[in-house]
Amino acid sequence: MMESRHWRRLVAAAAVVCCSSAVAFGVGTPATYSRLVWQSAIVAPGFAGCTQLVFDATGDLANSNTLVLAGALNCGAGGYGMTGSLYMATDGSLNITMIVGGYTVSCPRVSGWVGLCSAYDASGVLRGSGLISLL
Amino acid sequence: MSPDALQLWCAIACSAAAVGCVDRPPHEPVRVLPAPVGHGAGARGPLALATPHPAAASRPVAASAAPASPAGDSRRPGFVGGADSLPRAEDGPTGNEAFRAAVAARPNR
Repeated sequence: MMESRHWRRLVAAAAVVCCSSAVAFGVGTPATYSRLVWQSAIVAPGFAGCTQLVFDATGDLANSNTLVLAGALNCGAGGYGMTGSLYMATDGSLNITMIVGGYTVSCPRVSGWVGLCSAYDASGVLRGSGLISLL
Repeated sequence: MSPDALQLWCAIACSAAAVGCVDRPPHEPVRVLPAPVGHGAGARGPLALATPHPAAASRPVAASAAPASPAGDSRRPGFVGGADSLPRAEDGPTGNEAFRAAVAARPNR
């Protein structure tokens, strides 16, 4: 038979675990938001005519702030595959990072579904920039 | 043959090889097979190399599958040619409104 002090410790520990709001995790089912279409005005070498960004975003918006992205940057007759991620900041803006055409495209503050993106090459040199906006 | 004798013979053989005293048969010259006459695809011979047909030299190189990029803007690695090779907005309805609604409905975190 467990002593009473051990029971008290066990109950206290359980209360900490169950009632703690500092632990931000959850278990849920991700959803895919498919065919998100953005207008892209990013200007960079190799991106001429690339005006449409189409991707799927997958994640659990109820339990997470992040989504993984997969899609394409369309350039008329052809395009580039794209992979990336998105997280939602506390102010409601989106921080989008994409790998496309060998660039790292960073859109750190997409607010109101519009944001400025910068395209960096593999050496971290800024090669272009432009706005994206969700149509 | 005893191990000692075998060891002795090996030492002698290695020494002889090192100073080039071992008689080696003369190398046979490498025979170069004559180039086949006629079409390269129909060439006979195990080592015959295909020779291009004289007419092939004047045949233009097949056009690349990737569309020509605008002048002065060469495409980056990973460019996929063809208008229907990647997902496009014109292929169907977008998920934009559903995504907007889902983002608006998420609990404060």
